[in-house]
Amino acid sequence: MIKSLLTLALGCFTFLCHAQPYTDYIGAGHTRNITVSSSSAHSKNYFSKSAIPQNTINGQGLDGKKVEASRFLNMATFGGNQVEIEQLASSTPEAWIDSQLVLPKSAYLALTDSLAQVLYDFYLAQGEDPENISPNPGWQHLRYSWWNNAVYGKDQLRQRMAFALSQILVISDDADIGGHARGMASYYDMLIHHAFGNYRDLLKDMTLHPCMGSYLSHLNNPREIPEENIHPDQNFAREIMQLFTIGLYELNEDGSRRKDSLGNDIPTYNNTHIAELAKVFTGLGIGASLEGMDDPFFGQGLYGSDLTVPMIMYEEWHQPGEKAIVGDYVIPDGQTGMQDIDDAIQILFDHPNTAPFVVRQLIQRLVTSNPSRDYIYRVVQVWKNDGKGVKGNLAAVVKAILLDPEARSCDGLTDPEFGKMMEPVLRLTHLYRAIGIDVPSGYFLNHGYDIENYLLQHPLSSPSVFNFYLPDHQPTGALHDSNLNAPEFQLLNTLTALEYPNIVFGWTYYENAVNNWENGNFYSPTNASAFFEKAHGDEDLINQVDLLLTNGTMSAETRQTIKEAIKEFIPTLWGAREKINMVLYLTFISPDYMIKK
Amino acid sequence: MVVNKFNRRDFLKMAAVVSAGLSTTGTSLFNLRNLGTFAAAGGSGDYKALVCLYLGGGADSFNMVVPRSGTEYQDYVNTRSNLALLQDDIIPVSPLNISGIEYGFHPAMANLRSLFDQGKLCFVNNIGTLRAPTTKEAFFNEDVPLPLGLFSHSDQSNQWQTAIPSERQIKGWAGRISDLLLDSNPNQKVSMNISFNGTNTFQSSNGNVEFTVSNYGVTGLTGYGEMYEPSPWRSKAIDDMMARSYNDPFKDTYAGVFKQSLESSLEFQNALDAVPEFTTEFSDSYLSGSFKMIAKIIAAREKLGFKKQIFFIDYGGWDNHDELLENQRYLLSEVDNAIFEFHNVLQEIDMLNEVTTFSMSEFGRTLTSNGNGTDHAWGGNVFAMGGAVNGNRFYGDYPTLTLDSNLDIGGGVLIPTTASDLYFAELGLWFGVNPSDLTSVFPNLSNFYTPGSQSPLGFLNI
Repeated sequence: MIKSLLTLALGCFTFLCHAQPYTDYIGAGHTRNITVSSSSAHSKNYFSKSAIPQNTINGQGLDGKKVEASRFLNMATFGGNQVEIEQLASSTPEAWIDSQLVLPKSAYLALTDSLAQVLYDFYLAQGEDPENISPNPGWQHLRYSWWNNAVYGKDQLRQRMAFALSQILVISDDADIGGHARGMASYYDMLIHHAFGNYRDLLKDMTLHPCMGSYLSHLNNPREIPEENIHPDQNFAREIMQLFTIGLYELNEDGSRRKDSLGNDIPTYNNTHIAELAKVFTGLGIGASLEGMDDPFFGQGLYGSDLTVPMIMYEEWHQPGEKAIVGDYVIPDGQTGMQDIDDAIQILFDHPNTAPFVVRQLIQRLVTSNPSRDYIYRVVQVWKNDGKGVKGNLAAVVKAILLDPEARSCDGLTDPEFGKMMEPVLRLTHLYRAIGIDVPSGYFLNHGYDIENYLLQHPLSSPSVFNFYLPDHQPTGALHDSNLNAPEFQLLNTLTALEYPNIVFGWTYYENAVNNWENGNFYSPTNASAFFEKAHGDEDLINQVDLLLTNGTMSAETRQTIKEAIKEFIPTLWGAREKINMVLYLTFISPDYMIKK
Repeated sequence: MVVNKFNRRDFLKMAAVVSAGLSTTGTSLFNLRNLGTFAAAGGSGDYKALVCLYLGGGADSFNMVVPRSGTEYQDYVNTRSNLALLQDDIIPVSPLNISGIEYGFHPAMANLRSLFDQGKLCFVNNIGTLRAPTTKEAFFNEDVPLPLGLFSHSDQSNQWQTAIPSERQIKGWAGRISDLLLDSNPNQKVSMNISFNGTNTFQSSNGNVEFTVSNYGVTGLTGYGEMYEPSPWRSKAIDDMMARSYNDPFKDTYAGVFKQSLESSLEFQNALDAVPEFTTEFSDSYLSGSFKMIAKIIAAREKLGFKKQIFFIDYGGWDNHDELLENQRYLLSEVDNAIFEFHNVLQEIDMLNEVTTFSMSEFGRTLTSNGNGTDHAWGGNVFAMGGAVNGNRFYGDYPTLTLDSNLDIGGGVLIPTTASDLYFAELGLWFGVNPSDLTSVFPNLSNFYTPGSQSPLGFLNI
């Protein structure tokens, strides 16, 4: 019986779908066409409560609104937990977004500094030789901060947006800046700061950030020196166009490519545009040295530099003269270097490609790999004008992305073109947030080594400026045959396909989902046994896991497979524990979990 | 200033990577088609392997092979200014087919020089993506179709891997070759394409997904295929979930890759574990580790049921807009050791003639400096190594390095004088592609070469 009710709940959500006769939600005490006969018959098997028919009828645990809330939180946060799902179920996504927009920002640099200090003090108190330890943050402290904020930060939407932006405006610790945790933390703070701000301001601050300057080598980029055949470095000039703003080909507002009279794609720029734009990004150098060091100078490298301070213009190293950049725009002669940069950023920001180019990727990160043209078009209109005449307002854009009918409609659940694979990072945040971990030390310290090493993803650790995957990636097989993009599949190969379940095995059976190289005081086991208290038997256990992990979309076949796998466990403490591990393990590796519709 | 003890990259390199334990039971799931005939044929027989070393990021290859004396060296110094190698540091080579101009290798390439001298290694110079032969005049007058997205990493690495410079394609030329020669391998479960970098364009095909390995081989599935409960329950659930059709291309693709990995990994690792230790010594570098694993897979070829294999290593780090000289010296020394060790181990297992290793990179870099690095350009130099290589020779014309030459389209960006298609076709023919199939694998080739005539470039004994 429960299954038939659940099927109803899965089949349609109350927000936008009108198939069911009630306007509130499925269950809710409605009994029409529903017969409850056997749900209380489940034996307890060490679960503390058993199912009660009345709970089923009143919708407890089988709530369409909760299912919809879980699905929404999967797009807007690092994974919804039971409490958040219930809170949202009694509210609306719009109200939730509005409340998120005004929350205080999680801080990365401050937390990175403080965790490094906490650990330094801890080891000192343990008798460690001060010569062997340092209170200065290393890359692991930045990572601890990232996972702390992602898991415990209240500003989930801002952080999810910042993570999406970090995959567009890419810097990586797999480079010289990897040894400069404070600089990278301040870069992430910048993404956090502008996540609900304006994309133009973000472009400017990103351009001037010394970590980006180092990563794409426009830090200490000198004017041309013709007598030595030295020309301005073109790296940043190329990538700010190709990856951060306008892309390679001219686009319509719905994200499709414009065509010339012969039906060919129209390139947005040529190599001359790059060489000219490269002249704009000359003369930038370190803005401040670390305390106790001499004043910064043009040519000063990362060592001894304060990478939390924006780069400054050293005019004598800036290329003077006109620069004929993209869009037939000529930056005039006689300006300061910063004026040149402002002009160039404005031109790129105003280019008609920038809105569809960035919007499409934000939708891919948050909602679906193949947004329809109409979906992109609708969000691009909000990018162009947030309703108050402002262009590039990211708060309005993310709201439009998440509230769009294509994101919210239950049509997506059955549309083979809708959805995306969960990124490895999101799978792990989802475990931490939805299932939970125990943190006896009070300090949750994870540096994500396993998912980086085995699943090829960690925030701020892309192999190149091209991110972990390309927006147009199409894996061989059914997806390519259907001409569907699936960026995250670029991380799926015959090796990672098995590394992932092995990691999940660790998360569940060994309760080990945390990597750090601190001492045993900072061990944080997975808290799957919380289900002991909550589940009312096999069916209810699967329902709860379904709500938390598969957003209530677990297929009848997957459900049956999992039920079969746990039906013969003996009713002992061991059996109950194994049962929970089995359900979690199989759910986490199931196609229903991996692909979020 | 207190410096933090650990640099992250050092740490990752230091940390031992131990793949998850393989369970030792399980049934053979290989479909060893025609195994009888294969075994009867015996020996290395007609085994052949291509090994692609992809120098990701665009290698500055005009500092790998350089003119070392006379006006040519002076031109090189004038053009490259603060990036020019010192004359005394250049290691001399004497290609058999070059007279008049003296050339040499980068000082970090001593081992490659020795292979070159032994006739096991050659260079193909000023090679690049082209849709048709291109002159400077035609380039500026737009009289000739040009590759899409010249100078861009994504487009140019795509085109070196697809051999289709006129469009953005998904399938790679190794993928097309593997589709064509699909029946060569008795083992039909594991792709002919073995990757050290997961999903890549080069090996993307219509058939099996490229098979990904690490320097440590493959991994098994923890808790799968064991005798005691609950493992059988779990194993059955996994088998059921991954064999099912979901009427959803995302879910079906995920389940398909999972199933393929599971069915092939155990057999693969068992075959590797049976390979005796090599006497050839390998450096500790990541790249040497990859080449050692390739040698192991080749040594296990009969047990694995392979007669044709294409290996792919994407060895990145060459996009040196900054710190070019320092980075390149490091990267080249890693390549130099790894290629030399691979040569030695192939000799040890008597497979040198059956394996051809070749380099690719998306583009050469500007001859001129941007201060202490170089930018994206076009033509560059690549090398091939193996017993089948007609080595100690240069193929393709080594260009003049004076600026504003008839190949320089600005700042030392050189128009390639040898099309990458010719290089690919030569490798394809040697590997076993029938001349009549060449143009289906390399649709752009006919703009440069008529199949059935002499070898495209002549650097391999086909």
